[in-house]
Amino acid sequence: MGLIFSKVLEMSMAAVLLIVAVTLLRIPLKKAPKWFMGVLWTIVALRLLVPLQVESGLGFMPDFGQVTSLVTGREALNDSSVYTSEDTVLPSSELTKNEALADGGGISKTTLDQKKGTLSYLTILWIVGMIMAFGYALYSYISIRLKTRVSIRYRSSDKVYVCDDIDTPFIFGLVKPVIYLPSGLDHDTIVNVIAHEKAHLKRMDHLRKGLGFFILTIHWFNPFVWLSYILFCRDIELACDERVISTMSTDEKKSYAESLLSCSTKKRRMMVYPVAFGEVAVGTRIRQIFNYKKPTFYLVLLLVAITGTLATCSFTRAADKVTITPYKIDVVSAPDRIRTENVEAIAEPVMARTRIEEIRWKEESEEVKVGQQAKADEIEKSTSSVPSEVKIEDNGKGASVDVKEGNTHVSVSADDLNKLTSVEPVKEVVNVTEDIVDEVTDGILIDGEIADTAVDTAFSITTDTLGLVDSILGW
Amino acid sequence: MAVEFGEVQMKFAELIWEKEPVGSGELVKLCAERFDWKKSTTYTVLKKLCDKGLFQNVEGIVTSRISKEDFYTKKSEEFVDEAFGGSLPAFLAAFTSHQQLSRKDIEEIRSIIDKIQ
Repeated sequence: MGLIFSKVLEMSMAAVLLIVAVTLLRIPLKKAPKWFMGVLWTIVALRLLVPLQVESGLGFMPDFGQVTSLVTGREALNDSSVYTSEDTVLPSSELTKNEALADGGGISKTTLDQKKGTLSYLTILWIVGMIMAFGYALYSYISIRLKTRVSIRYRSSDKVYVCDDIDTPFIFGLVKPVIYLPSGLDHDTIVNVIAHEKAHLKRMDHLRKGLGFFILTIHWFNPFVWLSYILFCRDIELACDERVISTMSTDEKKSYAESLLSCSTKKRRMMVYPVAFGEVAVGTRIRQIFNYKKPTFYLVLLLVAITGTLATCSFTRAADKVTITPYKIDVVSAPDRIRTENVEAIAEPVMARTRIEEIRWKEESEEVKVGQQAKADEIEKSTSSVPSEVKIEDNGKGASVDVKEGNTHVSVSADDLNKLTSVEPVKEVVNVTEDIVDEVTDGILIDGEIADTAVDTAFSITTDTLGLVDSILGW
Repeated sequence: MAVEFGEVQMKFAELIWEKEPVGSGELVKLCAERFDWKKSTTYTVLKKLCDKGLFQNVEGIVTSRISKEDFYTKKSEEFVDEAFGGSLPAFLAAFTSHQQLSRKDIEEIRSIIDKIQ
């Protein structure tokens, strides 16, 4: 459950920027066809429901997975090797090892416990909120069900019922939706209301709204999702009006506007399920009715472009950006990302130290471009993955090196071995690792650039990913 | 009679006026046929109308306490009272300003007035 929660948290965070963008887009898109807002809200809904992010240079989103792991401590929880790697980086001195355990290990253990506590506490809170939202929906459903029991068919129509105990027309039911009209409406209003509700049914708005509420239930802790739900309900009504009036004459529009007004004057409680008639923003809706124009070709083109951009950006994240997190070692311990080239990198520790300084300085002055960041990320891993144990075996034909770091094993070819053995600054390695341990304990981030080979590989991989994503998206 | 009746309740009331005196079990059957109502629904509405003083359910037989004619008379009086301050001429003037009275309508109204005189 905690894992699901952190995924939800991740999606919620990733959606915030998108929601802000869509909300702002509503202003210039005032004159655009209203059904288009439905398309934009669909992207938002997908972003909130689908836990997927494609890595690409097109994306501007940070990797929220790492951010949430900061909050929930998820990765720290799942990966115990994180902490073993911390002390295994100190191979030479028994004394320093103990110190590291006392300082670094001790602190991270308590923070681990704290994070574990916070995670379960937040998860429980999240579930309680969901149950409450669901309970409210159930309460609404039952009270409407009870009220609409006493209803009769309107003129032997199979989908329209008249009910005394309701004060606004609405659609009720997800599988077999039925239109309910309050009693006492005049003939013109009934005609307009039925036209409106039938348009809702054709647009499947009762399902959309149900889905919208479901998403709201999951993301109840996110005020941005509330904002989108409110605006989404509003846009649904506007789009429905638009559909109804697109074929109406001016006189019919007037009659429609009057019906809207007469249905909105009565006060009522907010209900979750029904797709109502005079529910929201009646002023805006009436103005909209008389402002309706058929969209031009260029407008449609612009809308398509907006949709494409938003959809692409929100489902991709920036390729290999350096994420600043005090739990840097989490990333390091991902075994599959350590490449053979890293071993070479270790062989040049003096260079590494100077470059570490360089990169950090660059980071501070914000001069690191995306490409360089990618490199820095790669190197960051190699710097910290200094092996605890380097086993070199020469079995005649081909030499192999076994690098042990926590649970990571890296095999190196004979070529690499030559490069490795040609340099022998073992003492320097120890120095560097001590530095790292110190800095990690202080919670400071280290980034470094060490070897050009590693840089090249990292860069080419990024380009490959980009090309792949591009071809998938068809850009 | 300051009590409001909804369209659904009126349809139900009309049914009772039409069939009275009617057994409550028979009424349940009728409502199931006409309105697709469940037994409990029929009893709920019946109880509401009995509470409002329109009907009574004595030993399973439903009868009216106010006849259909009395009910509508009272209702129209209330309407004229409320909308036209109890003035029948004002009501007639408002009614005829938008709707042309047919020859038949006029004759009927005249005969009503003649009867009163």
